[in-house]
Order: sequence, then structure tokens, then C-alpha cells
Amino acid sequence: MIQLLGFLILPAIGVIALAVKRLCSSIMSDEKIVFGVILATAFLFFTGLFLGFAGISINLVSSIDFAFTLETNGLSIPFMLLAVVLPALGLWSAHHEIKKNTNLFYIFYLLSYMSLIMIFISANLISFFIFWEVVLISFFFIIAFWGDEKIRKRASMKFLIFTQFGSLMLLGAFILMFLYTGSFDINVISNLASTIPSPIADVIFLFVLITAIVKMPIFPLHSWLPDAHVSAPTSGSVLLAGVLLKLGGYALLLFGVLLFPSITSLFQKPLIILGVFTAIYATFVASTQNDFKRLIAYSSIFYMALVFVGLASMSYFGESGAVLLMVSHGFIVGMLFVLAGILKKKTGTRDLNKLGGLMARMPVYTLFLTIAIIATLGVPGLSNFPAELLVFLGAYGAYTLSLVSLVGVLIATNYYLGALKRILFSSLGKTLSKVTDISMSDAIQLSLFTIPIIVLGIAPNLLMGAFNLLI
Amino acid sequence: MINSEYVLFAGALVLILIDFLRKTLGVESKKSLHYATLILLFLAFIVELFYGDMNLPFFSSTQYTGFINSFILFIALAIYAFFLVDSEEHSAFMDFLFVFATLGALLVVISSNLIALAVSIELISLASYGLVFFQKSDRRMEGAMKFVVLGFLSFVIMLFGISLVYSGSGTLDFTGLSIINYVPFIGGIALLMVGLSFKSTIVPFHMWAPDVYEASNGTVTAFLSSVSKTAGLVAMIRVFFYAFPVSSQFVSIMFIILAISTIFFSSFLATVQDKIKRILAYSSISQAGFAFVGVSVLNTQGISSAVFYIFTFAIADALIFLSYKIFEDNKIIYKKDMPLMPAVSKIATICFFIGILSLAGFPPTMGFFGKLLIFSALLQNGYITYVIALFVILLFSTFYYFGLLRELILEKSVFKIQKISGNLHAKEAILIILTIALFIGVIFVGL
Repeated sequence: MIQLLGFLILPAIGVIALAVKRLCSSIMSDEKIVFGVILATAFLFFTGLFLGFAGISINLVSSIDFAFTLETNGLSIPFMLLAVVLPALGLWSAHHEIKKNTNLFYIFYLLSYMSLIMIFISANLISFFIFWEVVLISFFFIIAFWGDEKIRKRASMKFLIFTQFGSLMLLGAFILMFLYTGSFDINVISNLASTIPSPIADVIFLFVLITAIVKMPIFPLHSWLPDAHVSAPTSGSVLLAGVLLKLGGYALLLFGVLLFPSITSLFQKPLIILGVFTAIYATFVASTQNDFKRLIAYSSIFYMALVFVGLASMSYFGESGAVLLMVSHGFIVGMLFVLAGILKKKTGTRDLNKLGGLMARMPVYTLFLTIAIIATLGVPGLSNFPAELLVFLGAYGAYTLSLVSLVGVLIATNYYLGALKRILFSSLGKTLSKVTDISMSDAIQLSLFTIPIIVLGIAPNLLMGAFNLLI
Repeated sequence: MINSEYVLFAGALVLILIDFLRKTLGVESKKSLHYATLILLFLAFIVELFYGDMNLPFFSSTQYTGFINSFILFIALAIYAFFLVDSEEHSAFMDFLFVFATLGALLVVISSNLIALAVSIELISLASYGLVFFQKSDRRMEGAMKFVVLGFLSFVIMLFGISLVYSGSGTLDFTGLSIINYVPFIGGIALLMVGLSFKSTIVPFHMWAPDVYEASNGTVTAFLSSVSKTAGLVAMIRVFFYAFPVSSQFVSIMFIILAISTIFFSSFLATVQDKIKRILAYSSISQAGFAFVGVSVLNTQGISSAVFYIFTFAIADALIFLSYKIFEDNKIIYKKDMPLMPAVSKIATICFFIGILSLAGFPPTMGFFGKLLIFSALLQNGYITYVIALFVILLFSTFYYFGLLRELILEKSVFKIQKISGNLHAKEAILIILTIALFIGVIFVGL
């Protein structure tokens, strides 16, 4: 059995080592410490998959039921897979991209890495919320300090204000749960959820829903995401799109859909309509983007809207498809952001109008970009296909109108293939004649991304068997 | 029966005596006197920890007084230690003033009679006027003048309120007032409320605070914004929870609206400031507003959440003003100067950072638990709409707090440290102690 506390202790050792190194210099380089810690954590996780995980509970402040409780629930494993593996892959980009204050960057990176894992295994809502906020603060500084010079200040503040609004709503929901069940423990709350009186349960559900709408993000509260993505450094974007957005889906599934099924079924149709609308809206907006990174950002809103539809469908197909889609989209969008980062590094621009004909100059890059875009479009054999299929099956069973979101897939195909054409296939841009192909380390990084995409595409059962839709 | 208040009072008299003797004996150095003051405060802290309660006609302990007095003494001790390290050659007069201001704060907490309350509040105020004036600062005259005029005005209004209360009820004792089941002296209570609002900087009686805080020396500001304000807010708790039978939903809602407008206006004004110290001053006002939200629930949960919140923000305010003192000495005045902070002192920068996180209410610092308790008290009593309003206003404060932190990005610069008065390492040690207190203070939740 692997003790879950290890996932806290290992990164914490890394953070302390980095902080100590900051005050007095040492021989180990920053990258070695971070990479070693992340590798050790990943090793712990994969060993744990075979040996099982052991929980722990330490009571800290009993008067408000603040305990430090770690245990896996039915949903932990797929999300932990994302949270453990993706940052390791994203770190590769940080090595090239972060030039100043690297030490501080890695401290924030490791802090968010640690907290993201802890969120998925915290069974006490206060410790859950603490790690939730640590992620937010770390990301604020990653965007504000190492972001794009022009918009980093505005983008980081927008990110903070929006997501903090969501966090406060979640805090409100947690406090209400505590007041009506007398506990912050997830298991106790899930047992007593049906006893919460009706108007309060509605309010809790509404609060959780707003949190999810901000975090995922869904239509009215989505505008922080494109700015945050465009501003963030590549490794930050990978983590942001790959894991952070999934927190919204995780919270909605855990505290909304599974905890209050009756309320969800009451609002099912409006929720599905909201999801479908967001999906169509996001694809239309994405079609008009010229910045490749912004295009990916809007398209990830589209996929998260599909997740939202899947969760709202309340069927086994829809919900498990949504979880699968979150995992698969995490890897694919991470790969796309790394590709966008490389594009910026090699050519100096992400503007699709200034690019073109890169296939002649960058054949290896062409291969990986094509794989990523084909994967994101849901071609059979790659991981998005089974996920989208399940979501559409589940949503169709719940509400026929949900099939309108298929139009979104159509438009997504249009703009993604359009982007592919504009980057790779048309005539070579004038300024691009000296562009070289990607380096060996980039190629290794990108091929590591393709492994989970292909494995999950061929055998989605591997992941489907790893979770159950019970708290 | 030994008690921390007796210790402080006797000690202050002894200090004055020693000061006289020092002059007759012809000893020039005041150092021994300063260290004696430090030991006196420490002694009072120890005494408070082990012997708490006091029951006299005018002064009596209640459930929270032991805890409040302990942390007041802890913060006063930290601030005085910082002050001592900062300027070893300050006048002996400052020592007496400091001790008397602390004594006044302790007496406010345990006073159980309106006259005792008024006198104790005036003791803090008079000592604070002196603290603001007798220090090295360019604008001390302006600050002290504003402080004195508005302070006396508020004191007179408060006395007028107390006299109206007396004419209506015939008693000034808290237990005597609390058993009266009608309120014939609503005007008196309102005036008393105005007077207390001045002391604890509740909008619209907050306007002296930013000017005075800005004009004062950093250590004095730390004292004013933590210890004095604690006393003002605790006086409100004593008056409105223990003395007057005002616990109705109407009064609660009125108070909550007052508190919310405090938070709103101060946060709004803080966003448009350019000077760091003014931003911190407005943030200190909004913290008082938050504590007042807890008071306004007017039941046991509300009061215990307010007491804990006062504890959290007092420590965090002391921490940020003390650490800012180090930066202020190096002419870091405006927001745009903030990248220079780490060049002055890395540890002080980290402490400043954590203090701001706590004031903004982010976990895992204690500020988060304070806000958690306040929200929980509000929700438990059914004020859901006000909680949502508070959430929205909190975003304002998040905006300016993180607007400050965002400026902290480290640039490699050719910055030369201009001057560090006193021993930097000793100062950093004090800041670290306060920072640690910000994390482990969470064990006092629910006391």
C-alpha cells in the first residue's frame, strides 16, 4: 500500500529545497530538484496503482471539524493521472522558456503541482479548499510574473477575480453543507446530503454550479480563460488547460451531480441547453481567431462545454464519458499548447496570417501537429473518440436537443483543419526561410504526450475501470 | 491577587521613578530603561497567561477576555521589541506612553461599566496622541493634530451618549443595563455607537485613520492598527453584546449594512491609492469592517467569530506594518517602488507577502479561518444575501491586495540599501515569530 501522504511530502520537500537554495546557494540545479521530485511522485503513483493507496486522517481543529484527511474516492484515479503526469510533461517547456527568477517559478510550479494532486485526494472540505486556493495563488503569480509582457498584469488580475469569485461560491456551499450536516467530511456529507432541507440544497447546488461555470468555464463567465492562456508561459498553459479546468468538472460532478441528483434532474434541460449553447458559441468564436494559442483556448472551452453536457445528462454513459473526455482532453490540449509554444519559439509569432508552408522546414513538427489536431477532432483510435461518443450517447438519452452540439464538432473540424493548412501547407512565409525543425528533446516530449492519447484511444477500458461514479 | 493590569500599572510607575532617579544619578544612557520596559511587557504577558480573571466593581472578566488580553500583550510585546531594535535612542517618554496605551487596551477589554470603558478608551487615546507626536517623522504634527481633534470630538460625543444612557436607565453598570428590557435611551446608544465607531474606524467615521497612519512612524502605525483597534472593536462587543439588550434582527441588519459599507468604501478607496501605506491603512479599515460583521450578528457564534477575526487581523496588521517599516526606511513609498523590496530584505518581503495573503483571506493562513467563521456565523443565522454581497465586495479587496503583490516581481537591479536603522536580523526574527503565529493561531478557533 502506498501512503497518500507521500504525495504531500515529496513535493513539499522539493519546495523547501528550492526555498533553501534561494537563500543560500547549493550545487543541485533547480531543474534537477523539480524533475526529481515530480519523477518520484509519478513513480509513487504508478506503484500505488498496483499496490493500492492507504489513507490517513489527522484531526487538526475539532471545533470546526478541520481535519487533514486523505483518501481516494471513486473519481480520484483518472484525475490524479492527469495531475501527476501532465506537469512532468509541461516542465520540459519551462526549461527553455523561463529565463528570469527560475527558482521562484519552480517553487510556484511545485506548489501548484502538489496542491492539484492533493485536491483530488482530500476528503475533508477545508483541506480541499486550502489546496484549491493555493493552486489559484500559484497560478496568479505564474501568469503575473512570467506571462506575456503586454497583457500579463491585466490577464492575471482577470484570472484571479473570476476564479476567486468561483472559489468563494464554493466556500459558501461548503459552509452550508457543514451547517446542515455538522461535518466537513465528504463521506459524512454524502450520507447526509438527502437530509438537507430543500431551499438550502438548491442554494448549495447553485453555488457549486457557479463555481463550475467559472472554472470550466461555461458561457457567461468564460472570458478569463483566453487571456490567461495567451499570457501564461507554455508550461503554465499546459497545467491550466490540462488540470485546472478539470477542477471545475470534478467539483460539479462530486458536489453537484452526485450529491444532489434530484436537483440536477430538475435543472437538467436548462443545464444541457447552457452547455450546448456554450459549445456552439465557443466554436464560432474560435473560428475567427488568428492567434493559434487563443484558438486552442476557445476550443478548450468547447470541449469543457461537452463535458458539462455529459455531466448534466446524469446517465452512466454521459458522466463516465465526461470523465474520460476530461482526461483525454487534458493530454491533447497539453500537447497542443506545447506545439504552440514551440511555434512561437521557432518562428517568433503565433499569428496564423503570418505563418505558412512550415511543412517543408519542419517535418517532425508537422507530424506531431497533425497527430494532435487529428486527436482533438475525435478520430477513432485516438482518445477523444470514445469520450465524445459516450458523451453524445448519454446526452442524447437525456435530451434530444443536445445533439445540436454535434454542429460544434463540425465547426471545430473546420477551424482546426484550417489552422493546420495555414500553418503547414500553404506557401512558405517570407520571414520563415531560416526556421529549423524541433530539437530531439522537444520530439521526445511530444512523443511522450502521444502515448496516453493512443493508449486511451485503443483501450479506454483501462481508464473506465479505474473509477466508479460513487463518492 | 496578581494580574497583568496591576503589573503594567505598577511597572509604569516604577519606570517613571527610575527615569527621575536616572537624571539625579547622572546616568546618560536610556538603554536600561528600554530593556526594563520590554521585560515589563513580557512579565505582563506571562502573568496574563497564568493568572487571568479579575472581578472588581468596574472591571470584570468574561468568556473571551483572557484570550483577547493575551494576544494584545503578545502583539504589544512584538511591536515594542521591534521599536526597541529600530531606535535604541528614543525618549524614555515613549516607553511610558507605550505601556499606558497597552494598559488602556487591556482595561477596555475587561471594563464592565460605561464610565470605566470611557476612561480606558481615553487612556489609550491620550497615550496614542503622544505616540504619534513624539517620534521622528516629517508629518508628525499634521497626523497628531488630526488625531487629537477628531479623537476628542469622538470622546465628547461618546460621553454625551453615556450621559443620555444614564439619564434613561439610572445605571451605567453592564449587568444593570442588560436586565433592562426596554430601550428608552436609543439616542444615547446611537451616540455611543458613533463614539466607538471613531475608535474602531467604521465608515463614515474612518476618515482620520489613513492620514494618521500615514503620518506616523511604522511601529506606531502597527500599534494603532492592531492594539488600539482591537480595543475599539472589543469595546463594541462589550457594549452591544453584554450591556445593551439590543439583539434584534433589525439592529443586526443595520449593523451588517454599516459593516458592509465600511468594507465596500475602504476597499474601493484602496484600489485608487498609489502609496503603499495608504493602501495598507484602508485595508486596515476594511478589516475592522469585517470584524464588525461578526459583531453585528449579536449572538454567541457571531461574537466568537468576531473575536477570532480580530485576533487574526491584529496579528496580520502588526506584521505588515512592521515589515513595511523596514521598506519605508529605504524610501519605498509608492507601488512602483515595490520591486526593490526583496533587495532590502528577502525575509521581510516574504513576511509582508504572507501578511497580505492573510488579510486577503487566503488559506492556509489564519485570515482564511477568520473569514470562514464569519461566513459560517452569517449563514447559520440566515443572512445568505449578505454573504453573497460580502463575496462580491471581497473581490474588490482581492483586487487591490493582489495588485500590491503583483508588483513584487523581482527585477535584477542595481539597488543599494540606503539605511537600515537598528539590527536587521533582530527585526526579521520578530517578523518571523509573527508570521509563524499567523499559521499556528488556527488552534484558537472556537475558543
